Amino acid sequence: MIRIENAHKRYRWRKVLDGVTFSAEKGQITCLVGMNGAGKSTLLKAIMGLTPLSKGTIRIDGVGSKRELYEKISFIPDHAAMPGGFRLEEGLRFMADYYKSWNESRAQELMTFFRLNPRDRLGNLSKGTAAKYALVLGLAADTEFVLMDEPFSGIDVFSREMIGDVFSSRLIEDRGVLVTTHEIDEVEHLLDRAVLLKDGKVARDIDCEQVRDEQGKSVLDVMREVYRA
Amino acid sequence: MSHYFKLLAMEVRRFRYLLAGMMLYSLVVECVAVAIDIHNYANRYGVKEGTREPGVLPQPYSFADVIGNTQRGFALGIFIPVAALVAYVLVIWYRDWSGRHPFAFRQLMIPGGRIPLYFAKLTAIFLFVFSMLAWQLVAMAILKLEYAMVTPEWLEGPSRFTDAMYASEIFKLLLPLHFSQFLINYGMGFLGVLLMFAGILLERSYRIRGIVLAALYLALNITLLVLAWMTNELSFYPSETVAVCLTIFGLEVAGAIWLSLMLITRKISA
Amino acid sequence: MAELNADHPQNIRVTRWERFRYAWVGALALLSVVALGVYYGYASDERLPSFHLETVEGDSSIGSEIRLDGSYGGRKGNRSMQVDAEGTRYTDANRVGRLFILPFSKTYTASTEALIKAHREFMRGKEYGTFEQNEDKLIYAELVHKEGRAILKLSVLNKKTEKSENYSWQAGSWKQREQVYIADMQIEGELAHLLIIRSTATLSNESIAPQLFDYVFELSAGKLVDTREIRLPVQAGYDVSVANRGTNADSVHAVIFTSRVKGTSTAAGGASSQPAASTEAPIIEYKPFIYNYRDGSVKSLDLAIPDNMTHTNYYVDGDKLYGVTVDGNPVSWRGESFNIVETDLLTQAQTAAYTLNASDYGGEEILAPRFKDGKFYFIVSGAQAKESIGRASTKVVVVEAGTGKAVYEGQVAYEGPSNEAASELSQTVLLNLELRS
Repeated sequence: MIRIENAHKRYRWRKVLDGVTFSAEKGQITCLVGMNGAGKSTLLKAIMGLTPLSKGTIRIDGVGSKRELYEKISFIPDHAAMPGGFRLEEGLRFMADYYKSWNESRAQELMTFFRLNPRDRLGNLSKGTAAKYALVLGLAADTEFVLMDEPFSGIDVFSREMIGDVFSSRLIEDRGVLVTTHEIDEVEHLLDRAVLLKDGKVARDIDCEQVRDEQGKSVLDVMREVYRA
Repeated sequence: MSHYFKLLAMEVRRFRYLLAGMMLYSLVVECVAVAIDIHNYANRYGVKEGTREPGVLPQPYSFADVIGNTQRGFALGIFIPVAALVAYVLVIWYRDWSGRHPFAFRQLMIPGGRIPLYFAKLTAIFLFVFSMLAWQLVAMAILKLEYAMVTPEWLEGPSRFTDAMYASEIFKLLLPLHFSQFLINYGMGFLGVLLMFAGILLERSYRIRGIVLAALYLALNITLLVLAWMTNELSFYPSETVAVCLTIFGLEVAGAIWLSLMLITRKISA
Repeated sequence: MAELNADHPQNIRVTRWERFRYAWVGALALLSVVALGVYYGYASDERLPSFHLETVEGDSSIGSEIRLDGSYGGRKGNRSMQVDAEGTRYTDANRVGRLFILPFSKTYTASTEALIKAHREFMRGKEYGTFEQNEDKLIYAELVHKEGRAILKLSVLNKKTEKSENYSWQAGSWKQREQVYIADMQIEGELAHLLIIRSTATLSNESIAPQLFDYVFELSAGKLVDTREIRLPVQAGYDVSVANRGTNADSVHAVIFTSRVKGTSTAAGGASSQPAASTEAPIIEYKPFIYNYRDGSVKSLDLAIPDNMTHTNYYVDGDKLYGVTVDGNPVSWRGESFNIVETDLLTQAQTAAYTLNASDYGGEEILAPRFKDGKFYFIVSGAQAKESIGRASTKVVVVEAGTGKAVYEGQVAYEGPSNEAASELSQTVLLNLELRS
């Protein structure tokens, strides 16, 4: 489980995170919801050690940050994070070089599934194609957790469908997923939990299915309550 | 450890065409400068038989003399690679934050920590610098051959290799004849690179505040060095001043490395 | 959607890639190590020649005190070097570090070096003043300018206990136009004498008589016991200089030369008049005096001094005064011969006179006279070394001051194959002689 406690972060005089506490469980898909600038990306980056927190702790399976954690968690940012001059196969080779948890055959399958040409150069790809490639890089490793930052932003409809398929496949099944997105409607049916951020704090932390069954509300409904109030 | 070597190999490979280009450029410029200089000198004394005053033998024009007279040519051939290398001290970091897919994210998430990343970039810079130096030595050998081929027989004169190196103002700085001088020059360069790296990491961790901090940090280090050097004015013997300077130097190196590692592992923001 | 097969372990494929990924790193590292290694391990060594001062005749312990300074011209650009009985030291190597140039550019005189070696802590920071020593004590005196006053600082080192004491006192004024300096220092038993001269620069033809003081300091008690003003019985409007002391022996005399341009005099008001401008160089008149440190008496010295005294240096040694006149260039003190005259200060009679010719020692020029312990040291250049016709070398000769008899002859020898010796020696220019201690 990924547990974040009392996270604070200040960014250019603005308090982005003001005491955020929640957890993401293995085997569940948790979604971080919030308006623009609510700190969703910041939280994901903080978990990965890509930005420091002013205060607060992050524990993964009870352990604080450690170098080997990168074998356990994958982070898929909203870009492919490889040099533009790299061919796609060079990027895969890079991952294979440094990650013991890299699964080469799964990477090949994902490349085929997304119809990516390994000889293409990353810089020449469209945004949608690059996003798919980013998913390959993030999902091919045998990690326990996957963090995804805006996986659907700026992607065409068909690519979105493909990405959505990945979510419901065996690929994600046993892992813990923490995703941020604006396209709630695309993933609502897949979510297990939703954490709503407002003013730097957790406004609601809900079990999606429970809310749907007991209150008849969708996540979107809850969002309206929280953000329009 | 293996991550360090892999990262180093990658950094070197990313720069290989530029490095090769600089080496080629340097050699070509120096060859042209030497050829032009020999031709000018020979013309002054009449290359074509008959235009020369009979019985007047010109002074022999040795390879060392040629080097002494082509200062500007060499400066041109070396200055641009030097500027490129200095720029690359910055670019080697900032290129990974640029573009649509900042590679820095990936580099900072490599299991095994970011310390190998830092040392890989550091070592890469030094490898580039020393290879360019080594290449200059090779170039001198090539230029000597060129001299032997281009210079008319009646103009050739012997000279020592050390005289040729000593004749060049640039080499007096970049490839001094005394190894202790070399250590001092490149020790200071090493410190300079370390300070620049620390400054870059300060900027990447604290953005604008980081730039201010970097400037202050640089000023502090320079001041300490100057103070150490100024103990010469007090009742310190030269050997003691040197000891003080070396100590301060060592502390600054250690400080810069420690600061950089601390920033890259804990404070950096991708 | 195709079934995605998960959970295959990573395949390790050794591709061409693996073998070549380190190609560039390896190549660059190899190039750097080999080229720089060969350069600094072998090629950059200038292989500068070694020389040393070898004794041809006489006492070799005299030779061990001598250091010759000069340069070697066998490379593009000269290399400064120092040669002594033990070998050669090239001093350009010390100009290490353009960034650190100052600490290394302190080149000490041979005597200062020797003192630093013997008394490192005491010598710290003492670079600008005067030293004097006898068997038990080493004293250092420096005049410091402070707010219009002259402060004399004296440091006394007990050589046996290596303990030192510092003293200071005001030695009169030091105003803007004034020049104050230590002209002489002498240890007389338990007393130290410091001869201070204060002269005022004349701007508007006003010439004020220089002031001379003898500060008498008792070393064991650590206090100033007497301040004597030395009045010279000469008309105002003169300059003053003091003969060199070149010996450690106790000596109670200082010889003071007053000089004035011939034809000038001071009117009662103090302004001096100049003779009409002439195209000839002005002739300078000298009147020497003997000052006795023990009793403070001033006596006129009857001495025949050549006009202008530019070609002559005087040295005091005990009760004797030596005048050395060069037949040649007085600026660089080199010529064909030195004429030496010895005068007894007690009787004021000339007791010896002789000439040292460069040709007597087989050389072309005689230069760099130094005086120490009753001996004259000098360089003879272009000398044919004994037993080896056709090899020009630099020679050092030491003679007894009173007689001119040589007690030491040394020559600069090349350490290496004898067929190279002539050309290597001809590239050396050694024009300065320094004595340790």
